[in-house]
Amino acid sequence: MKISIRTATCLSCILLTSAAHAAVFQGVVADEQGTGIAGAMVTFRFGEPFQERTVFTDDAGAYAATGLPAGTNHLLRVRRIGWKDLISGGHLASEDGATALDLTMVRHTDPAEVAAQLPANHWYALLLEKFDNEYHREQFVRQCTYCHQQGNAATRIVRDTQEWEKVLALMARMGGGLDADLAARVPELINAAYDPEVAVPALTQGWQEPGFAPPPSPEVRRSVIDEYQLGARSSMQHDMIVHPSGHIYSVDMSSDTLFRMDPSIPGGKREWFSIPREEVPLGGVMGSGALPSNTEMHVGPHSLQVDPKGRVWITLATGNRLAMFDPSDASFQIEPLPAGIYPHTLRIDDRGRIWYTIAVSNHFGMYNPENGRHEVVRLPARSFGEEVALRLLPFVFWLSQHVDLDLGGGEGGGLPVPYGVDIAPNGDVWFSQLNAHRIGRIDPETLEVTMIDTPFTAPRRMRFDSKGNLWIPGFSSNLLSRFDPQTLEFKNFELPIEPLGSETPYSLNVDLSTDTVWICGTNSDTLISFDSAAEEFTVYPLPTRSTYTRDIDFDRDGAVWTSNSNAPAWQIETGVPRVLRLIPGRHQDPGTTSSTR
Amino acid sequence: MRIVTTLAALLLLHGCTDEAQEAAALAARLEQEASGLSAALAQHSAPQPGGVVVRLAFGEEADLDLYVTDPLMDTVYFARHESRTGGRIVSDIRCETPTEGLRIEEIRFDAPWPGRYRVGVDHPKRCDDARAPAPSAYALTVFADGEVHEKRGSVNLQRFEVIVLEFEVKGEPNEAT
Repeated sequence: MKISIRTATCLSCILLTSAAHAAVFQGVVADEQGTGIAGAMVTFRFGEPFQERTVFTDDAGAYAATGLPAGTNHLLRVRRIGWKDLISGGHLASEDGATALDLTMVRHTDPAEVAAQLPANHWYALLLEKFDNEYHREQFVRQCTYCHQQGNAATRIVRDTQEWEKVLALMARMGGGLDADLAARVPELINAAYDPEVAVPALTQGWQEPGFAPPPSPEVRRSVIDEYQLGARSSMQHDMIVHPSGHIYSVDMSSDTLFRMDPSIPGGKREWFSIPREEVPLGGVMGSGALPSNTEMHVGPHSLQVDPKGRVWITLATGNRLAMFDPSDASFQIEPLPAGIYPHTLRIDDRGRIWYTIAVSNHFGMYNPENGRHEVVRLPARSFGEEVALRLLPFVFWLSQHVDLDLGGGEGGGLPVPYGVDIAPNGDVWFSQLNAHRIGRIDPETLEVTMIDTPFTAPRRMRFDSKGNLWIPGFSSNLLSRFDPQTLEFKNFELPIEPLGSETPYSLNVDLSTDTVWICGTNSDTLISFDSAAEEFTVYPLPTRSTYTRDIDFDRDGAVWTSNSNAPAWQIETGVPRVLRLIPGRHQDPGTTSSTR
Repeated sequence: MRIVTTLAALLLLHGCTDEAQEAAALAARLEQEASGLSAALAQHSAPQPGGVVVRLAFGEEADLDLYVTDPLMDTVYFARHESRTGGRIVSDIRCETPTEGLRIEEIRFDAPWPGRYRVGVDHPKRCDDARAPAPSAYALTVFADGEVHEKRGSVNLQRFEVIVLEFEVKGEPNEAT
């Protein structure tokens, strides 16, 4: 049954409307001896909710932050590993020419402070090297980095064993279960790795030498990064997209909200739309034994895509529904799933058909809005036992809502989880099966399924390039893989994030205008580009600590957009999610309006 | 396969008991236990005025966990010892924790931010492994703004009751940082 609901539209406060002129801050970042500091990130924050614009200093320490709103106060932060953060407020952008602002940074003298500045993956590497069993290492990476970074300030905690056991049990109930023998070892491994007495010297070896934490390349330092606060401290901005209209849409899984931001308006005009919850209870139709403590999630919007008519389709993971948002009248249409549990990631083909993975029950779905026809395919399990367990899941979930049922939180090997999906240029539908380390092809006409083992672990969200190659991130294998559907050959490229092996690439996307692959540096606060012709990586550091990114999209000018969706949000520096835009290596003024349209 | 085994056991047990009668008896027992916990909690010393103090009492058969979410939607619980607003967990009671009589978890905000607070109760684990999975009774007391809020109830094993109580602390909103 279709239900069409018109929602109220809430307009956020739009500040800066008087800031008609694009202002410039420029100057030099230097040390106390006056020597310029290369590669410092200079960030200006303005507005409420805020926008931050970050630029990098060049070899001489010079920077120029353009396109900022004139007549507006800015909060400044200068950041460079090895130096103390320089933070000061009240910087008024002049309406008459550039505002000169030279800045002096002070060296850290405490190596513990330097270690604390390092991205999470540096700490995580200390833990990963403790594993003497590849099966355990892979399982830990895949299961324990699902929602948040490992090794960030909130997770590199030394706890007593009993407290760790409780944490692991809670995480297992949230879906991140480990095998019992691994779970028994983890407290000892974590405490040994993150003991500051051991970790700080290991992380800061040579920290006063020039080669420690070298600046990014000149190309990277010509980039501009914009971050827009979006949502609240309980938000989880799971996925975002760039709409052909230029609007940014993002779904807040925790509050059942669709956000829309117009970056052409100074500071970013935010609107939000409450997704109809109908009668779905808190936690969703299947319930859950362990929800985030601050959640307001009923239907759980997860992923979104735009159809050929400009309508936004959303998977409502815990509501077990699809939603369609029509921007022309801000209305929602809800479409319940006929089968399966937890609609996950979706793509839309040229005919407007919605193809989506159904994660928990190992299904794959298709919905055709033109004729209202649903198709749901049960995907292959790896064994008879898995097949039985998967078929019993709906009954087990139902039963657990009515009687005490100690499910134990699952194990780390995990049932197959259909995850990423993309449409090939020839119309074939491809998906990944995360825990099963496989990808699959679905014939869009017959729905026949073909499975292929990947020569690496944990294929996650993948995309096709313009030539028909499928690009796949190996979440627990620290690599990017190129798969040729014609020859069935894979070619793997190890991600260059240092320390090697510490990255967990959640997702990627391909800029079809150049076939450049952009990959989430999910555990290292980075975005990574890969020139598919030259087969070369470029790493772009991001300014905010605990930037856990999940999906990537591009605007029509080639700027790269993603969201910071670390869950819980309080682990993110400043405690609020953001959507962010990276304008790679450009000199020109990106404009006050933040628009690159 | 653990799911399959559990399910099979449950199916075998189904029909062997008078479910309605058993459920009524269980509800009565839990209510009695919760009342006892509530009465015992009332005997506990009242905190100094000014802050927010949340106490959760439960029996020795279970490990219950107290969660308090502050106006910033930041939560204090056993694994997050302090929040940005200064909330802190004073005592996390586990199965292994030696206690004399009443088992009480406590979370305090010495200088509470004004706004809405949410209290949740989780039941992650039984401490008496020999017993079948069963709900556990609890009693909750909140001291805030000179008022006392009380709640008692029960929570099933491996269920997290995200909202068992909400309360307000009055005052001018703080600026979020």
